[in-house]
Amino acid sequence: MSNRIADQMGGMILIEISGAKPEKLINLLMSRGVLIQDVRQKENGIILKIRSSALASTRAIAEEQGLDVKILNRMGVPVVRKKLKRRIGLWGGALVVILLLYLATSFIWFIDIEGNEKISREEILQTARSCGFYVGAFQPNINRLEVEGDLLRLMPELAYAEIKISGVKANIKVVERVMASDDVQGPCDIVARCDGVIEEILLQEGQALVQKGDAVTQGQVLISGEILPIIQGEENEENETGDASLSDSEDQETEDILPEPIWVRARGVVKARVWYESYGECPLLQEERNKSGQEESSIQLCLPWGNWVLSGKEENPYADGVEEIQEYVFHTPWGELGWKKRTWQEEMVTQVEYSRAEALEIAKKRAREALLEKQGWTELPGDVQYRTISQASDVVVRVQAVIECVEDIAQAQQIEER
Amino acid sequence: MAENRKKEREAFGKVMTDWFELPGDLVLDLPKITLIGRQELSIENHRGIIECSTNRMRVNLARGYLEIQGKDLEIRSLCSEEIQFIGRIDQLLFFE
Repeated sequence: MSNRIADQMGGMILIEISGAKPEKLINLLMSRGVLIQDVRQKENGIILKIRSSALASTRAIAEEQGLDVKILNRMGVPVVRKKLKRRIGLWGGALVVILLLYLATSFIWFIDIEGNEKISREEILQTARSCGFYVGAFQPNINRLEVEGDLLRLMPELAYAEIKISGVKANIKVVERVMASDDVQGPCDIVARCDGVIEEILLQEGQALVQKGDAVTQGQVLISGEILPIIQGEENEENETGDASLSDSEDQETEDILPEPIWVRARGVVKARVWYESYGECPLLQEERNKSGQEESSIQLCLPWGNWVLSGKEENPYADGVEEIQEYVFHTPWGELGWKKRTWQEEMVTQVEYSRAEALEIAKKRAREALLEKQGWTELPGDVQYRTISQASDVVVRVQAVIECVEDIAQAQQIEER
Repeated sequence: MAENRKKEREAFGKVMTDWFELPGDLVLDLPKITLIGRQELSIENHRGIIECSTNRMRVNLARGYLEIQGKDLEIRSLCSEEIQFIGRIDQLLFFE
């Protein structure tokens, strides 16, 4: 074993000895202490292995004996070393590739999110980014426990967050918190959600304080959760069939012992006529910016030491233009690494003149859209009444949109809050 | 005459090694041959190679030579102390 290692370290040579009586050479080499291995007979002579250091003496003896020595192969560490020296570029390249591969696998390339139902993926990604966890983040800079803690702190909707990183892929596992219901528990009143005129009231529990036709304001109690029990005496008076024998002393007792009111959770449907308003306007002379179709783009190489423009222009070539930047950048500890694509689109500013009728239509449309946006409706629940609030001499047409509809304005309110 | 003396000396040496229980390969310079199955053969105290071919190998000894007959024979290693053969060994023949 040790001989084999020494052979490999020193290098071995496979030689072919041809000529008459090659055995003589073997014996001479042996007598000089040369280690000979793998001796085989071939057509022209014999093949054997000797150490590289014995080549010179072998050649000298072979020459004396009139034999030919031909090197067939070289083996061992010196040969490998020589090959390595000759192909230094290849090995250097391989080393660089390995280093780059290692570096590339040190970043987070993909993030998967698991377990979210109500919270959107983008929201979690955005929060994770603010905690330093994003696509392109350098893994050694990430403290998983810290990011998990920050996620829970910044997103109270989360009950649990766990980050697992395997290779270049990260997995964020979350469990959403089951939030307590908004329903009011315990005794409560029904109050008006907004101003309106009562159209219909359907009492399920509690004491109604308003009736059809009443105008109510926002927050006004419509159905009270406090029910005052009917006092016996009052009942008798109301019935007008009171017992004439009821003495004054008994009346006095009734007044002294006032029964406690009963607190209930008021329930009911209170439909009221309500109004919603919005506003829209349109100037008679308006500037409009339209894209001319002209476009320029440039590609920038971003390195920690600076940015270089690879192609295209450095700055926005248009006086009026919008810029769009697409970034493919990784944030490394040394700085940004990647490239950016900047696109500029030329815009033309044109003056558009509307007639008063056109401007009115646009203002109405805007008012209608504002109404939908403000109330969060997808379609209008009734007919909209438009009222022009600008003067005929104004350069801007202003319109107010009003919609009237009947809806349930009942809203539960805890009695303590009153 | 000289041959007889040599034989006498050898016979005396043999008696003495037997008597004192000494190793014969050291005292009498006899070859020590180790055969492992029929694939491997090693010889110590040899005097070099006389013939080397795939079917027949002849090894010089202190007295005579040893002929190894077989198939695909080759010398695995060769140094002044020991020689190792591998291949299929059919016969070992001693010649004086």
